[in-house]
Amino acid sequence: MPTFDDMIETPAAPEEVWKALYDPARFPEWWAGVQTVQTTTDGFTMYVDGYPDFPMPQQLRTSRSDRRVTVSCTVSDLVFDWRLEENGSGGTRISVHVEIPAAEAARLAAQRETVAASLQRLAAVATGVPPGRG
Amino acid sequence: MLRIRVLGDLAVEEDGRALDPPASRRAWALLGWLALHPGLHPRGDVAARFWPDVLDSSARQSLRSALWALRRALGPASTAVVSARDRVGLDPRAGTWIDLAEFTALLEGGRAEAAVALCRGELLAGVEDEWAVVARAEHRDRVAQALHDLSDATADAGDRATALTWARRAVSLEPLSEGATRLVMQRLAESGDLPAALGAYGRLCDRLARALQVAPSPATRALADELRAGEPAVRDGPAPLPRPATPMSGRGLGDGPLVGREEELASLLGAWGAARNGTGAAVLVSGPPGIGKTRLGAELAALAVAEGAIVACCQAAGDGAAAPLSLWAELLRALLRALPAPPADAAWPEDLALLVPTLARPGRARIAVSPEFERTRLNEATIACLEWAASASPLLLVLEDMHAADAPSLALAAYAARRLPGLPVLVLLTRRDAPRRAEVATLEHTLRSRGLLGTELALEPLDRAAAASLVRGCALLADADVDRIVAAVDGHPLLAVESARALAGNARSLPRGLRGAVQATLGGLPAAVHDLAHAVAVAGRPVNSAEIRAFGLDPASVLDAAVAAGLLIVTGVRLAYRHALLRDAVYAELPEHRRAALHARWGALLAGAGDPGRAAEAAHHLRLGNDDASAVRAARHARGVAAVSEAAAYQAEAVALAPEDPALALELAGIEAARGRADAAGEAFARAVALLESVSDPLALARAHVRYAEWHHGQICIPRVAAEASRRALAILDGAGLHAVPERDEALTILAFSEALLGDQAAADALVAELKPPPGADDEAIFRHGRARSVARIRGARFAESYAPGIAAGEATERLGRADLAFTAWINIAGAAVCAGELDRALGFVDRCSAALQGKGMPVLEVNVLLARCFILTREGSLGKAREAALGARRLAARIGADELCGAADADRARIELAAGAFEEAAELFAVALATDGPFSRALARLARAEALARLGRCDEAEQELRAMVLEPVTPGDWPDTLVARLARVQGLVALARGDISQAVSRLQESAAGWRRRAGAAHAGERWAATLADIGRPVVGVVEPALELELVLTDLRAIQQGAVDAHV
Repeated sequence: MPTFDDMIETPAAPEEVWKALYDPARFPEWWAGVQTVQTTTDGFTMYVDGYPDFPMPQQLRTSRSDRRVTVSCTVSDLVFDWRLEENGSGGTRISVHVEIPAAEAARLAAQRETVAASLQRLAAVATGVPPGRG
Repeated sequence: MLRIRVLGDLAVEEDGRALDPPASRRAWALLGWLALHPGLHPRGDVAARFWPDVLDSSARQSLRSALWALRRALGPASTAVVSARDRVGLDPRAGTWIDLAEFTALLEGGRAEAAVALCRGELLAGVEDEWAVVARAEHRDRVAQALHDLSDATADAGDRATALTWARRAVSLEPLSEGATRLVMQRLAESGDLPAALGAYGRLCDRLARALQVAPSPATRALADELRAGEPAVRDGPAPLPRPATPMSGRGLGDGPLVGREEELASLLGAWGAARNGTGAAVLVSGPPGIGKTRLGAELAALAVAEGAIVACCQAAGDGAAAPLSLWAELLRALLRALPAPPADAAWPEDLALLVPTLARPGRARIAVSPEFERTRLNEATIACLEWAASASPLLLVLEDMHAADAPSLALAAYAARRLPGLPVLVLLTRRDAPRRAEVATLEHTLRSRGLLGTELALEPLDRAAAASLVRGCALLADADVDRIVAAVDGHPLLAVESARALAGNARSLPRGLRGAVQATLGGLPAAVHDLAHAVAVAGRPVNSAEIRAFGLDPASVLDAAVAAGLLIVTGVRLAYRHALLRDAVYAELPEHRRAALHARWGALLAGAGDPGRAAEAAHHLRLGNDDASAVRAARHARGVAAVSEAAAYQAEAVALAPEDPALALELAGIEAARGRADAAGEAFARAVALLESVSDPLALARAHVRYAEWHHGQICIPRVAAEASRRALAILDGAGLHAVPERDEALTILAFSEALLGDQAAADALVAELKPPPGADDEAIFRHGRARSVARIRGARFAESYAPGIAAGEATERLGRADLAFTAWINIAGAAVCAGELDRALGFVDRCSAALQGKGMPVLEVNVLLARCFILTREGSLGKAREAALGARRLAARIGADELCGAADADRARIELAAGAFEEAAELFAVALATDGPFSRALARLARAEALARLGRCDEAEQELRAMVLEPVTPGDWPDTLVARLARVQGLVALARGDISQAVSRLQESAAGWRRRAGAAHAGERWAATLADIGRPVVGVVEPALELELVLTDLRAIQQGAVDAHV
């Protein structure tokens, strides 16, 4: 299964990053390619740019042991593990680990780009600066 | 005719007319003496007896005066009194009738009953001269003997009631007579009333302690021991073992007086004294094998018994591998033997019957509950039994060799010990220094950390003087031999005793070590003694005469030799090793094949006897005897006593032995499910299904799937799996064209319930519409139907419509007596009523739930009901009552040692204080709760604590709490979609506390926007269902976005009002 990791630091406090990361309604603000999100009590559904009729139900969960926020797609095995840590100067180190199902291995390069862009936008959103759509 | 009665107050009558006594008491006493000694006596002797301290002439003068007064009082009858110059007395020729003479004649004539009937009271009551006191005592003995004979004679004739009456008269005649009390004990035991027999013993101990400050004699103690140990006096019980040549009064007491342990005994007596006065505790005696732990415990037990306490002992064996809870089963058996029948209205005997089957009463069936509650119920029943026993008399419970105890017994000891404070109970635990087992260390740590382990004694070797004294006390040896032993044993008391015995017996030289001593002892004995010693060693517990005979041995022929050698002791009908180490030494000497054969023989014997109380023991022996079927039996027992971990291990063993048996695999899956281990359950289930599919039995296959579904909507709450298994079961039945009404009905109700939780409202509604209880449906089916309907309606936010099916489900559980299911049924609709805003109704449902749980031994559920009540009362603003409920929950949780539930109760208390504006208390209580792993939302608790801190102006701490919150795990039960709005609100409050109004308004508006997005009544049912599925148990409280929004808006209005006020 192809995987990759990426990381960025932001001066925003972990709480602010967490709010952006934890509120699927705000995904379109920073997650590249996400157009709209519908929330439910036990998950949410993302609609990505270019595929308005293709719902992608997601689940979001956290892990106490390693402080991860995991977003996983319930229709494919695509998994995003987001991890927040204090960076020692009041800001936050945001790490992401992505797992791509073997069947979708061709999307690896595209996902790298998407995630890199998303990280930058998330770092900006958390500081309260609205990023431009990338 | 003159009639004189001395058997009572002195009374005299002539021809039926009572004569008044003379004014002179000496004259009256003189008549009494003369009646006791009919005939004539030298005047000088009589005078000297009555007036010994005066001159002879004065004494004679006094006698003359007394005789004169006496004759005057007797009037015409005075002719019976001879007062000659040198002799005085009652004239034998006068035909005077004296009751004492009549008593003697009747007794000698074999008419004891008539003789005893003459006794109106103590001989010459009120006369306190020395001769009278002596005569009284002698007569008392004669009466006592007569009563004893009468009791024996009537008992032999089969009239137990009258025999007991005579025995009791003997006790009332001589309350301090041990012989009389033993007679009563014997009679009571013969009539089957062992508790009363031991009660009589206890009362004697009291009397002796009070009047004479002494303990009963060894003979009486031995009888009490016998009664406790077995049923020697019951005429239809096992035959008593022949009296051994060396009498022993009980375990550990055969080594002579306690030597070199005075300080340790004083410590134990201190703990016992405190316990007896109501401050119960545990004490621990540790040390290497044979150092004297058993002996010390036995000494304390003897002293406690002498004080009238109830003492029960048990000893672990099997190095932790014995049947689960076997240690407690032995202890409770011993305890219950000393007690009367349990109260008729108590529920615990049926629960405890899992361990002691004889407790089960006719017509009082035990109702099983879900596996997760069985263990607690058993624990609570044990506590109830101990509390009841301790209400009659202080208890000393001796649990020996805890290093070898089975794990569930250790856990139960920890559970029970928490209730000791406030009870007159002392628990004496002994253990060896090695091996150190983690479970034993955990037990000790639990007791120590809770302040329950009052005394800890680590026994050291005896010093040389004490060791020498011990050796001399148990064998007649030359000084040189004593010195050799003392030098060799290094202060080890058991080895000292065994070496002394060996040297005094057949051994030519000092044996090496304990095994050497045992070998030396056995070496000189015939083969039949070896067989007996081996059989008892392999049995691993005291065995009675019937068991020994059933085993094929005749104890009569070899018992004397075995007991005289000091290996075995006899208590009543039971035969046991004098010390566990001796048993271990003999057991260790047995070749492996011989050991296995003997285990197999005991196993077959016990299994064949059909005593359910010995089933686990039988399985244990069969396992050690390499019997394949034993694992299944052992697993069944373990599961029966809610020891699911052990049950899983045994069942896995059974599956490994018979891998082609689907029933075994399915049973293993069920046990794993009961342990909450979904993966292991799934694995075993897959194996069972594969086997069932290979034999083409669709009904069995469908049933297996229904069971799987059942586990996953019960112990393991995974609605998706439950729904899949239900569908699979239905498909199998359809495919095979089977009606199988009960199976279909169960699958459909589980499917409807699961669909409701999964969120497919349409599917749930469709299934509920189809649901119809089959004709003659039982209450379990009615419960399932009611629950499925009610949950589907709650999920669809049709809260009021959920009440009727929920009530039907709740009432069905009450008829079933299933308090665990009642909790589910009532709390579900209480939650629905909260969602509908009908708080009074919700409280009514909670009340019904409380009533259903009352006295059912499920304190964990009771805590949860109190927390539900707390939530509803907080919600309606009745903070005082809510606080009361939270405190009640906290107390109950603490009583059962449930730290996590204590945390949940503290978190609820904290919420109440936050609502009441007591922010300091709220912050403190939240901190306490968060230090536990309680079943409450940690993220919400941190947010609430941050709010309390913000309101206190402790902004830095509030921000730290928010930082910690974002790193907490979040599950659906935390209502994750609302957390961002909550966080924003608390950030607003922190900004406000810092005086940053603009930031405060911005954060609060952010929060309000978050809540507005989530407002809408339709979500309430979904939230309820999602939470239930997440935490796997009923919930009462759900998040209410409209209320939350109003709180935020109130904060905003307050800021705006503040700004206006400031402007004005």
